[in-house]
Amino acid sequence: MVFLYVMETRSAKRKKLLDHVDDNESGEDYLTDLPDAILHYILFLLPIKNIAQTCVLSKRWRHIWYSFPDLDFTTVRQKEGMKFINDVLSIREKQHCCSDIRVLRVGGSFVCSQLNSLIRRAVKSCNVQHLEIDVVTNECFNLPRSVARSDSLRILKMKLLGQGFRLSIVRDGFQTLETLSLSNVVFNEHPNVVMDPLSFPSLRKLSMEKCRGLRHLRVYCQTLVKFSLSECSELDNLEISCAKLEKLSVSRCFNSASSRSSVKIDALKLDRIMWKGNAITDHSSLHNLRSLQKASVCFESVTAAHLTSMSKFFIGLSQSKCLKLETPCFELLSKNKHFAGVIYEAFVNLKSLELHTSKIQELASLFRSSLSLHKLIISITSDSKVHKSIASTQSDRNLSSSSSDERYWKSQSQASKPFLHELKSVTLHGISESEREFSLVKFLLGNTRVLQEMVISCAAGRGCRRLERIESRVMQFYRASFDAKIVFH
Amino acid sequence: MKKLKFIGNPLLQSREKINMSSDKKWLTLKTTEDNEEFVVEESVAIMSNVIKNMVEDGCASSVIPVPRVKGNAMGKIIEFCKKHTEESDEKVLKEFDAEFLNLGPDALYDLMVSANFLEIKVLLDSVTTKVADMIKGKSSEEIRNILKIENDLSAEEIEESRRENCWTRQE
Repeated sequence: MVFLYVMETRSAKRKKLLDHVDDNESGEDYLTDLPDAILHYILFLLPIKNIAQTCVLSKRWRHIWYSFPDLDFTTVRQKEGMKFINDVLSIREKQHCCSDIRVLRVGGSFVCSQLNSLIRRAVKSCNVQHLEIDVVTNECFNLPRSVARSDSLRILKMKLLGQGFRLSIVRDGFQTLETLSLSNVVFNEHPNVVMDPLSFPSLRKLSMEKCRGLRHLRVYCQTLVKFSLSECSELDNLEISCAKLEKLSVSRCFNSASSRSSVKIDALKLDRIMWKGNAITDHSSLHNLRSLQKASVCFESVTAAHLTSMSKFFIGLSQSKCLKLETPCFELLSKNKHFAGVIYEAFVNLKSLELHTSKIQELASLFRSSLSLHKLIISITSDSKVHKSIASTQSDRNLSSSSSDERYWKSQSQASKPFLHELKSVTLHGISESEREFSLVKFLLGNTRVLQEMVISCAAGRGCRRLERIESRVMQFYRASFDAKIVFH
Repeated sequence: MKKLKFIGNPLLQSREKINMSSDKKWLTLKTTEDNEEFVVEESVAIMSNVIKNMVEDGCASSVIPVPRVKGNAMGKIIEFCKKHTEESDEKVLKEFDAEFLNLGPDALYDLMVSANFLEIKVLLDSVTTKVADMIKGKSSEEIRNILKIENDLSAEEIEESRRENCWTRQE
């Protein structure tokens, strides 16, 4: 006899074992065969008020509502909201077997005391696993300590508009918490915050945003895999030391007025780092980033005074295979040949580089470097001092300089050979019809022996005609690589 | 999950060889309720997590018996899985699903039970969305009619529920 024996999925309370004698008796509804989990699945798609209304359909459906695992009250925003929530929770408590909640989402406007009792109830009586609060309160809210004592909470997301909230980090707290997301937290009374492994022993994902008054942050949770920090503009010192961290993103942080700011990162498994719009710190120390694959860096504003720190920052990233540099990094490096040289030499694994610049001729210093890139992406930003005039007058002006551009690039060709001979793919964004740019394109096409693809993308809003003109000109340039395909956007 | 037990019939293995085209693997699914057999490509059949696990565990050598699913439901499921394996355009798939799910509640429920049993997430998602749409915004009476739910609550019980949950619409 051939048979197949399979356990049904996800039926929490009413496990229906394989029962071949389950034909519908006449008159019974369709739903007897369906486990609770599927009926819950259907209802997930409806707003909670509609779901609650199904409790009057029949005994089964009443049970379905009472045992509904995920309660999303964010669609309930009127004044009766709090009463509704409390009523629902009370009914469930009366039912004994149904009081546990898997997901609880709350939105709207609350008085602090109401929010406090709701959260304590959810954590203590309902053993909530996933709690999301996105509310506005009348004053600064203090997150109750009982939240940290929960042994069921895995995901906590708190966003309080307006006055924000305070969080106290409790030793031996948050034992089961895996994901923590905080927005608009007030740290003014405790500007020195440590996310340590004893207070967050299971934490895998951490996101902190708009942390007011946060001056010093140290994160060394040993299970952390993803960390994101943003809009902490008073931050002086950031120290991250997490052996399992794979993705790090820091944006719009650091106090540019500080004179002792610092960043220290030690993350052996770090795969990706995004550093965007941060003020450069006075000291940078990045160690052990041996697994780094992709790095994207954009400093808020960099002056010559910070060159050493910036240089150390980059050298810390030097194991990376892929680097993206936004303004003004590249231009600062081009002006400081010594630092540029040290940095280029450090990036031994780099295969893909993306940079933004407005000074085309300064790319020559990059072409003379020891980097052996396969892929190069250049975004030409407009120099704010030079007004881009219409094509005709520009070509008049540039006729005299086009030959000097060409001569310039010709002079670079010998020194650029080692660099250009490795390039397989080049992308140029923001191309207009300036002679400077045509000279660059001509130079690149004429000296890249193994080029497979060149992508030329017009500056935004320039229209088809311009693209056609650019295309017809570029297609006439000599190509060192017969295989090269040129694509125009 | 209980471990799957499957005893293959060696006599049927030869039939599998006859069915094969050179580069595609084929499986035979047999609904045990009405003994209908369906020959499908493995790539289509493994849209069902249950079948996928069996194939990966190496217990699906010839005919796979599928209990609890009737022949006509199986046919529809295979049609669905085939389309979703062949087509990758979102728009086309959406149109197909809308047309495909234009069924009465009985057929929809058969599909839901089967999709849940066979663990075909894409199909389960589509059918449950359709059912949710059918009951969204409807009154209790209307929902009872659509889903053929027998009202076994007494008038007092209904009144009590309405009082406890004071937000219920008056009908």
